[in-house]
Amino acid sequence: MTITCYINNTKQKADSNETILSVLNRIGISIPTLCNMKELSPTGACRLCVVEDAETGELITSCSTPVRENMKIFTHSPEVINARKTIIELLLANHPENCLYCDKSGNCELQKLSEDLNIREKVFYGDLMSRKTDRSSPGIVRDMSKCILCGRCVRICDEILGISAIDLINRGKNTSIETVFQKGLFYSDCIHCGLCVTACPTGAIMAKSSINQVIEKLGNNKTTKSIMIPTTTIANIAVSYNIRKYEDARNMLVAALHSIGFNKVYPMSLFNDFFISEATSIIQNRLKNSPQPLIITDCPAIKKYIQIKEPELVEFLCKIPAPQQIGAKILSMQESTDLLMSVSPCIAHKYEAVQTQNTNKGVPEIDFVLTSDELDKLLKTLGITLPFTRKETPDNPANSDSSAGVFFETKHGITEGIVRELFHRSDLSVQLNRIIEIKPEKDFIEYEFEINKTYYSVACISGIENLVKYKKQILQGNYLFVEVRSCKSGCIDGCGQKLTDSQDSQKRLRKTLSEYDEKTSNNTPGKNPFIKGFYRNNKLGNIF
Amino acid sequence: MKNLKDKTYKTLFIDAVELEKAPQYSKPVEMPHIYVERNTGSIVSGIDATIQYIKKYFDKDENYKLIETGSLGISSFDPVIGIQIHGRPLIFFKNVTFSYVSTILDSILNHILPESDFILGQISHTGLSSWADVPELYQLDIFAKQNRRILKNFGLIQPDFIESYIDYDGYKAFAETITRKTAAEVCNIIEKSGLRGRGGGAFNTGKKWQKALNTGKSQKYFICNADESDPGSFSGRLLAENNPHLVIEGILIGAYAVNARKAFIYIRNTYTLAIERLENALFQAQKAGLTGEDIFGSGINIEIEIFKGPGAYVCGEETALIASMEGERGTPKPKPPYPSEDGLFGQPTVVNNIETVCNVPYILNYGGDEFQKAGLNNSFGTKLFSISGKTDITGVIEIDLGTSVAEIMDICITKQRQPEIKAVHIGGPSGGFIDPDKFSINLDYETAIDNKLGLGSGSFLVLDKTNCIIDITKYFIKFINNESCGKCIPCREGSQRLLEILNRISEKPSEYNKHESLLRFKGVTQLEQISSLMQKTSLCGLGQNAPNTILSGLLRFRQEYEEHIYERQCEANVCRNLKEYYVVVDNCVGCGICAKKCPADAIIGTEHQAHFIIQDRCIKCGVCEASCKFNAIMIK
Repeated sequence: MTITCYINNTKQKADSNETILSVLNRIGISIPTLCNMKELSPTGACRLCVVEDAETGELITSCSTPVRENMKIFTHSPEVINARKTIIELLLANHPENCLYCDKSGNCELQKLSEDLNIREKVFYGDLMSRKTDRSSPGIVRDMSKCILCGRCVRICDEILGISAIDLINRGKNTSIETVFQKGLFYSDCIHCGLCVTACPTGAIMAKSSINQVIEKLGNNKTTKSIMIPTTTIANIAVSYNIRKYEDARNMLVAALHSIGFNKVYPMSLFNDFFISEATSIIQNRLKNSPQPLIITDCPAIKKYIQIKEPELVEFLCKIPAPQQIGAKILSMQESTDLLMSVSPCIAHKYEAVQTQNTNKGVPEIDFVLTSDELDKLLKTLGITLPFTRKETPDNPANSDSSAGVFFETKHGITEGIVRELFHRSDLSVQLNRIIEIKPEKDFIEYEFEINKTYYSVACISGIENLVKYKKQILQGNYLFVEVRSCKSGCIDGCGQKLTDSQDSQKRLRKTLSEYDEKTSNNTPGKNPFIKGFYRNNKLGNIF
Repeated sequence: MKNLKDKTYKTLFIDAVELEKAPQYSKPVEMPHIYVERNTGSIVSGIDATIQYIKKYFDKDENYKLIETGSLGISSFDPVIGIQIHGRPLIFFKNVTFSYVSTILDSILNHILPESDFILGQISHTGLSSWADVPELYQLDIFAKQNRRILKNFGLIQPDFIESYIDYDGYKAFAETITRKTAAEVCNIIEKSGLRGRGGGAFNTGKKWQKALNTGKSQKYFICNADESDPGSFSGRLLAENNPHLVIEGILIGAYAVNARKAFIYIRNTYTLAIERLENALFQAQKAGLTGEDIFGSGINIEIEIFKGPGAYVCGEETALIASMEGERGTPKPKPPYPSEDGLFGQPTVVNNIETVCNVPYILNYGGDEFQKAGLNNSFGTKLFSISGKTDITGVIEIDLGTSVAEIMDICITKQRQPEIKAVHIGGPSGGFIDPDKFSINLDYETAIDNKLGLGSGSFLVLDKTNCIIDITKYFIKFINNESCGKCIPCREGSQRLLEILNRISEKPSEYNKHESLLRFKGVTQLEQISSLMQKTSLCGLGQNAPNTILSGLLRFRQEYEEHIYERQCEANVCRNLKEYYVVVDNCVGCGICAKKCPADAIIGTEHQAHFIIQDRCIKCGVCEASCKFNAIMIK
């Protein structure tokens, strides 16, 4: 039902189900919020979004109050501004005053709010917050003294994932966000998806940084050092520094990494090709008799999620390790390297690298996993300015990749690669570079194709919450395989990338990768010469 | 529905209960009847020992009857016993600890009155020869000045016997309601009576019920909120402990009126005696056919369950209460939606305070007009106040809403002592201070709010010259700070800042520098700023009302704040940490008197040498200053 309301004395039309905040956002009035998130239910905890009800003079929270017929509100009256300002001042009274050393500085919502509200002096003085820091997880550091208890991480972990690895404990000033029995994140049900990292408005939950150790290792000239860089990281660099072409960005990054001391730089696309080849072999065996569902994913978060929350799906999970671990195994077969590093768009891979199956006598096969952001920072620390002046091609054996491997990390890239490879192996020429159309807003898509007059259908699910939602379809849908990834746009909006928040930057990231894909003729792993050569000596499906 | 309209209500119970067993003080007795008032207050005062000694007194002589009743309401009389012997009316004795049992029984069983110190009063009745020179219990000032509607017959009713409650016309309102009135009619009666929530919100109860009744959903819940946690408030416990059947009757009527088939009593798990008695009462009520299926053949099922709350103050807020019942963290949720539309497990839920519930049977028995005879302005009926502090009596009294503070003072403190009173703190953590100039204000909901007070759940804390306003304020703010759920920023951070500022005002500075002094001076303005923010923007009533204590204190006792800040002096000598005693070396002759008198061994020194005060040990009692004849001990 459409109703009328008066916002700052101007007449506006609104729907009766809408909250005040959504009306204000729609008409372009910005209201500061800390606890509110689009996907989550309103809790009214931060009280920053208060607006003045002109009739009663009361301050009401716009995030939770629905609009009424003929409601009159003021969004920025002196009283409202004053209240918002005092709330932030109260938060700042005991917030650790170490913004200069904080990883989040410059990107912090609390910092931005205090700037926006023009708070330029410390008004209240309280004892600075000191709570313990949880460093147990390989990917996430939780410094609870910086926590402002907005509860976003708690709600995202509960409402979206249904995991509740963290929750609020205690009361009053002792309230804090903790894992079960306060044992630390590593010992909890945390799947290291990193949603809480993206949700946190301050520096309380951050990705763990290994930059300092890496810099130390890089200084040693006697060792050989190798690094794998995923295509999303390259795209991230390309978009951040306005480099138009994927290959330009890749070659610049290779040259830059060479110059700071890496002997070998491999793009992850090669190992993505291996992943596709291996997965295709498994599927080819299933073409004749495909009774059970098969879940294919390269995402460590999804794998742990299934183990914890959906144990009945474990038997359907494809056992191929993620590309970075495939890379580690293949590289160890090819040559010896003292330091092997990998870059990843998200923190789940940091967790994956230390899992038992990926370690050799307790030593991880991959020494360090950096996020895209960390790589960016590492380059800055070591004096590299991007765009880099030189360009170099990636190292042998990886100077050959297929465009499917490049496109692999975007939304339903796994499916795209596997279908192309299936066509290729069935001697059907792959005409189109884009077989499956990307619809950014859809979380579940189905695709049907024909090989030798038999029809097969596959499905792609994006987002962890949708795994539960579409579980029935997975079990009963009679799909050849189902691709699942925990992030909605594939790996390009991983929590280790800076540009994840806006729809626009996601679009640009995707465009960078697909442009390269469209003009490359090596569009399937089967056409990759290195892969061909590798499988002459090794049998498909046997190396892992 | 069977035709129940012609039956008198007591016949409904005839099969289930044996009414003739209920002891009646109005009838003559053969053997001595001894009423012992057992409740949490009297247990603390030693009623259990008294009971033991009574049993020991009679030893193997079984020619007596021990009757366990509830409290009269006044805790400072505990332990109270009542004795009725052949041909005489019931007479009550106060403060009967075990050592006086035999003295009192010796004399009274021989028809002689014991010392007058113990005598409280008698309840005379025709046909019984009254005790000479003993006042009538209900004509004592303390009872006569009350308007005991809810508390009627308290002290006579046996909480563990449904017969006793029915004998005093209990369950009449419910029986008549369920057999003669529709749910909508009940809602109307309650709405017209103007009964308002006694928990602090003061919302019209009938309107709340109508709202819940008129929602389309079939599953509804009725919750009686007995989760009393305010410091200085104990009326809810008194009701649940001493007359559990009254609570149950109120709940049954409420549940019937909103069409709820399931009702809960949410009570703190620490109220063990109350829980025990409620559980027993529920068992008896079910046996008597008052709860369960097809009550009195009306086809209506109502089930009552006790929910033991974990005991958080914030769980008294209805949405937090519901969250904690659902197994969630007990934090309030933003309203709307209100619980009457979307409450427990998403169903329409009515949450009423235990005192509100106990008012319901009275309204249905006597009608809304009779109910409205008590009260002022828009606040009708009576209100329970828990009296404590520097008063002559401690306990729960029931008075008309709108009674002035001075009138309550008359009940609980003698005229001679009244000038000593400095202030009264009303309403617990959500209430505020009143100074003697304002003792004439009437305590109805609107006047209270106009005077920056909240009646809350009715605590009435009397303070005299030995109490420090800042210290009391600090206590309440500390309580709020501990009990805040931690969800919304204004309440969590605001109360923390308020406490820090109050600590800064009431303790000596940790360092004597300019910054520290500036913070102290800024304190007062910041108290007002934070208080106003908390009032305007906090999520629930806990945070919104928390600053009342500060604001009313600043309004009426500003001078005391200024003394603390500017002169670092606490007139009541409560904030001892404000001071620091030190020895003026030039004046000290080393006589050693101070060192001898110091109770904390904080002064050291050798004879004829200047002494020294160890600050960490000093308890700031001031004995040294008073004992020094050479002016060698000074205050910093």
